[in-house]
Amino acid sequence: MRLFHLEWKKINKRPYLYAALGMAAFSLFVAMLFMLMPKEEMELSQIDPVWGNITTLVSCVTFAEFAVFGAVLNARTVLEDYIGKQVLLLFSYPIRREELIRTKMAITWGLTAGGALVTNLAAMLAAAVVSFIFRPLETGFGVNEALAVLLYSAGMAVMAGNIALISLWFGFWKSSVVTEIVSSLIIIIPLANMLSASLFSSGLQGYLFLLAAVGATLAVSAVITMKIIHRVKNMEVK
Amino acid sequence: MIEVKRITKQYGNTTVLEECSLTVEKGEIYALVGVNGAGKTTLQKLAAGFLEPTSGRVYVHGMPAWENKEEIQRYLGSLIEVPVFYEHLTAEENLNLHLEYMGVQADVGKILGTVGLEGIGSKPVSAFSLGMRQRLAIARALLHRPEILILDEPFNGLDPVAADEMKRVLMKSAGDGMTILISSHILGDIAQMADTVGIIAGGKIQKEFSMKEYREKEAGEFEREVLQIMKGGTI
Repeated sequence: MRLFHLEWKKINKRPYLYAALGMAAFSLFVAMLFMLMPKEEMELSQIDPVWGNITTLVSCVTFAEFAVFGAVLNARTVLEDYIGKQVLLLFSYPIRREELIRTKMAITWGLTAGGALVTNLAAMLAAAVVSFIFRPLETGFGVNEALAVLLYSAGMAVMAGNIALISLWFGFWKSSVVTEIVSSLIIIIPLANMLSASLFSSGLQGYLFLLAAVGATLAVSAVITMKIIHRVKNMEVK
Repeated sequence: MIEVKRITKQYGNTTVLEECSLTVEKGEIYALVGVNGAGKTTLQKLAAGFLEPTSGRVYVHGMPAWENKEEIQRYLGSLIEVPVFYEHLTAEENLNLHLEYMGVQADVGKILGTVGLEGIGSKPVSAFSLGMRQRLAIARALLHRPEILILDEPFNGLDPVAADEMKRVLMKSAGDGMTILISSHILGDIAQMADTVGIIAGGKIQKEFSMKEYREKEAGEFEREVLQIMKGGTI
């Protein structure tokens, strides 16, 4: 816990807070846009104005936003520490290197997934409140819809954190912040598209696909985490 | 306190150090002198546990440095290459953070005063000049009262008054039992403060001077001999 506290202190949180608020506003905007869009426009977009579709859309947007956010956070608070001269400072502490890098990655994963979860829930809650007042959709926001929001929010939050970790590996591999951020975009764009296309299918199939996606990213990020820890453990300061 | 035993360090096909050996006793100030690229910083990084030797061993406080790279940091204070800080934090915050990582307590205000930075501890490090950063880095290296200090050209960017103050601080620390491995290009400073000077060239310690002898000799003789060896000649 002491190490968490120390690493937390080092992070300049203000810019990330502003970024997260901006992304939350955008997710909210997407939710409102599709909820309040005129029926004729919705027919043109070929997206039925039902809660399932809005939940899927907003969740995918939140996932994409926060996966990039997580990649940038990892680049600035983890990668830069190890590829720049800051590593001279990090390695001068009598703390096991594996413990230190694990703590850093846990913090960034937590901030990314936590931010995505809170943002998605807040955006959908706001949409639910608006729907109670203005009733723009044919169906109301009930228990099933709330459960779907919870599951999608949790799933997307975990995936955002995992994708941020996976892109961190690319950054370490090439010792480059730019590589990390570009690799996150290369992973996120097709993945977000695939997710949004697949999750628009109804009910159980959508949930199963989400579960499979979460499982796959968890497995890959677990392997990646071990590789990063191993790399840092044996790192030389050249 | 520091024993370098036949260290070789290669990067690919480039040999930076070859069968290099030296010993720094407790309370001694050992100065490394050499041309740019001679291997001074590499040797210091090996001693600090930041590099793995290709062959040979470095012992710090009786422990192999690379195999105990985290443990030896308890006994070490270092300033290697450039001074690095958390730029958005103040000087005091940087030092307090360092203490928390080291798991010790110390008077941050006092150490800032020792290095001539009293009164500016609440300024963010991003506003510091090079000389101020250098002094702050020395303060951080000394802060947790290490037994061994490894300093890579610590007088860079310091004006003559500040450099003189830092020399006194380091000599006092050595007098209190601290072991210091220092590298510098400023032969005058080295001549004043070091107990032993090792000239590193061709990846090896070519010659070691005991400064006790040279302080009794003619002024400038030490510098002349060092320059001759560094240029590839013999005395």
